[in-house]
Amino acid sequence: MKTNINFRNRVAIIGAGMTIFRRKLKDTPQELTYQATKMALESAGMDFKDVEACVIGSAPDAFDGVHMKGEHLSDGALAYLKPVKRVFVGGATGVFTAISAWWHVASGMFDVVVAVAEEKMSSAKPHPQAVFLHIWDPITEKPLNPNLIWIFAMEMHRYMHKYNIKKEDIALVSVKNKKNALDHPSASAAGKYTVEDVLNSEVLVYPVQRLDISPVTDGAAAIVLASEKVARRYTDSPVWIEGVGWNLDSTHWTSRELAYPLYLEYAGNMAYKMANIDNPRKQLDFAEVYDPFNYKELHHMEGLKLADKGKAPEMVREGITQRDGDLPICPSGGLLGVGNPIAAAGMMKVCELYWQLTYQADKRQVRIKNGYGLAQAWGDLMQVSTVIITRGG
Amino acid sequence: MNEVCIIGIGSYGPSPTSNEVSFREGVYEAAVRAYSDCGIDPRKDVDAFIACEEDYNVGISISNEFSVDQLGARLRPICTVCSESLAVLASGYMLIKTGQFDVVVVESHSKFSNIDTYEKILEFAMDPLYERYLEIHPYYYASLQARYYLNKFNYNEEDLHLVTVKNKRNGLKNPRAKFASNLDLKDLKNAPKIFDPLTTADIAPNSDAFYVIVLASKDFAEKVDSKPIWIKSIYWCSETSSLLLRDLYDLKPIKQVSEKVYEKSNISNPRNQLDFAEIDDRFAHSELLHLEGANFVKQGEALKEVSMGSFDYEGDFPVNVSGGYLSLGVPLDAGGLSRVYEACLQLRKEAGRMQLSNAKNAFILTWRGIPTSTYCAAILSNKGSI
Amino acid sequence: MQKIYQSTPVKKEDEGKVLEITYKPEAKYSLSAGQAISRFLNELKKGRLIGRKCNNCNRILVPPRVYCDICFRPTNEWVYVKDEGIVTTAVVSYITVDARKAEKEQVVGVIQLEDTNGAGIFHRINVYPKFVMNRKIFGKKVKAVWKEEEERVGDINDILYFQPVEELK
Repeated sequence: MKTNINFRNRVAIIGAGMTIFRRKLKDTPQELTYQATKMALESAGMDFKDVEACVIGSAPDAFDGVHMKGEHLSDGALAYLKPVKRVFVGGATGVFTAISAWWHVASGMFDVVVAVAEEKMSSAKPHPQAVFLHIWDPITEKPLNPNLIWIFAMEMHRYMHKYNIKKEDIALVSVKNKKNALDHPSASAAGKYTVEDVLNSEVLVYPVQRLDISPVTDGAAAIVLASEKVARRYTDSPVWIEGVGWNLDSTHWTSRELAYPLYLEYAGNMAYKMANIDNPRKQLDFAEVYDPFNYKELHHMEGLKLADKGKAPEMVREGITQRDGDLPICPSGGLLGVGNPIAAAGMMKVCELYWQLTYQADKRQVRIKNGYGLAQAWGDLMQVSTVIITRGG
Repeated sequence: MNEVCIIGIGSYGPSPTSNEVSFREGVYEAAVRAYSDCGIDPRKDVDAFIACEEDYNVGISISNEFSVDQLGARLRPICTVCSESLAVLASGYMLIKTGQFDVVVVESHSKFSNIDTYEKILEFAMDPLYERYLEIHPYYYASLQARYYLNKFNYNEEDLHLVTVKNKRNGLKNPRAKFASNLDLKDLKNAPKIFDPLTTADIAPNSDAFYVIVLASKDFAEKVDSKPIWIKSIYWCSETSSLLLRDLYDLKPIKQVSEKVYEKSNISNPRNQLDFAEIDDRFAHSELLHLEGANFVKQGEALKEVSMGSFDYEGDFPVNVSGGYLSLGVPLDAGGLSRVYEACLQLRKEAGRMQLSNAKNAFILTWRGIPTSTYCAAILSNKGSI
Repeated sequence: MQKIYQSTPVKKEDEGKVLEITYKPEAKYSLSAGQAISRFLNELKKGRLIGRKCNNCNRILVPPRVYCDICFRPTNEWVYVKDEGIVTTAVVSYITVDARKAEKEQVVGVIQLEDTNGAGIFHRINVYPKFVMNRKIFGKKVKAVWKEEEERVGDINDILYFQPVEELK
């Protein structure tokens, strides 16, 4: 991979939109995709005729209940007679959809591309978690009848063990994000909670409790990407994509050290290098790290080198990651507060970069100093991370 | 502009079944062959990997998890793109075009033999509210298409089999074409129809196959020992996902993709300027619709020209000399890469008994199959500029 | 200003109306286990764990693979490994696979197999939940308890669970 070269074609985010996130929405997957796409286009001041290509992001087909889901959603993405494809890296899909749209424009092949991510989890019966039985190795793991939460509980407990981290500190992440989400108009799991509330919530898989987890949700989110020449025509405040990175570790998660996300460090390095960032803690104004579980926010801060190994809980305790702190983390409210329609939740984080860096985040607005924001997502068998770094005008 | 080329190709299969390997082992076999084809080390030389797969084809939810180790992609940038594999190849092409990536590996495979209920999985791909409840095999759509074409242009039902005869015979020269056969029109005339007017032979069977393709920038290609095949242009496009809303004959995405690739490669007369084509023939009539849609022949005249031998191995414009899907089988979404593989062998002059004497510029057109409306086209060339 | 499109949540007054249709996908597979895993399963039937060794990085891969994911070369030889190892993580599950409350809690975790240079196995661990919560089980040695020979079928469940070698206090 070539580093430190100037972008041949710079790419800007010029619009973003998302639906409300709710436990169960009446709208069909195609309708949700349409609503998010339309919102993003309106926000960019564009018509769907201006769009040259689409990238769709969505996690397992089993949720929406359609095989080859990308084909099905393409109508909703207004992709009629346009190049359209779906990308998929498990939970990390949301941010990756934006990365894929980036390379469509950065290649010089397209000037305007829509990236839309959708998930309708409520369709899956008897419970969306049952879908996750099929993500395990079908021969050596699935016969043990695992629940999805097991895997994260194992990672969380390993992380707690290795760095001697207390549940009280991890619970602070839920408290912060659910509070932040009170200011997010799409939020489905916002609220004022205390550490005690989190610690007293139902134990699902020790050490994971009900309020440690983001809820199952329906929703969609979209952004519009444009080449420099088009972006300049539509807006005075484009949000530039400065760096992208993604990385996957081995399928065999049992052979890996779960306490530290090495793949994220590599993905982060790729994006930092591209964006010319050598001191992320100082240079980033805020970060939307992926928080499907509260410990994941800490885990990811460390992988992204925003905190030393095992030290992220200290930063949370000291209030550094609050919206008015030195390094706000998940000012949107994150997945814990806004909701977790898998791919759409990742894209929601990219939308937040756009809203924050164009000062459209209203009560959620953080202080912008250097103009850099980062969004990250994670998924598969605790194995993949995707990172995008943007800069305001 | 940085040009993009194919420097390595590797395959395992195609074959009617592949019980001897798991899907990961099959991909490993194809990967080893592709990397040794161009002498690269995947652990050092590759900037990004792309896997083409669909959960319900693999039989694993989030199949992306299982795409890493066998490609040598551990702790490297790898992702999954769900589409026809030629459209996935386009993603690799774009990555190199950004100027940030020198070598990108694209993998696609089919382990069709793992699937017990393929018909039901196809049905699961159809619109859940309007189109799933006919309780009929989704191939009914092919039946309608074929009948519509024959009626529209006044052809005899039997003539349709000419495509099958041509492609199954072409396959006899291709050691990879496991479904090749020395059929006669007589054999097919009285064969029972399974999707009227199509007989079993007129429908390409599904196959197991594993393909890995290595793409590189011009700079990198010059550094390694390989025979680069250049991607002159590549494009993909979809219409609506609803079968009910599409025209049976006028396949708009084909016009769109072929016009785009011609335009980008400065081609005004495809039949003269290109030397041969690998075209989707998953149903006998598909080749006809696709040839007409891509403007190789006037509307309604494809079948006439097939009967005249224009598209034979010795014809003025050979189509599917590899034997096409009818001889190779359809490896689900890996179909596009299977055609790229065959076209590369022709362009490198490594196609053995099926080698065309004049193979410089190839046209590839693929469809993602029922019930999709996704089509992809590419022009490959063994020279840097046409 | 950020605008939000008002999608429509399901409300109380929607009760009794047709809001969804039911469809049960019939997706069935017979997955080829492949060369490496087939041998692994057949050895399980005999009550043994087997791996493949890569002579380049000196790791033994369990479950076995014909290729090494770090070196990208074929693995070299079959090696039996002890059915013992160290617990690196463990959790107590109170829910079933489809998120219902389980009748009985269950401990599962990852066991790093002895002398393999890093191979881990995911399985049940037979230990009181309190030893998971106080993390006393972490770092302790456990050993596989197998099903009776006639009950083994060549499945990961031929191992009933892993059991601490020394009693925990």
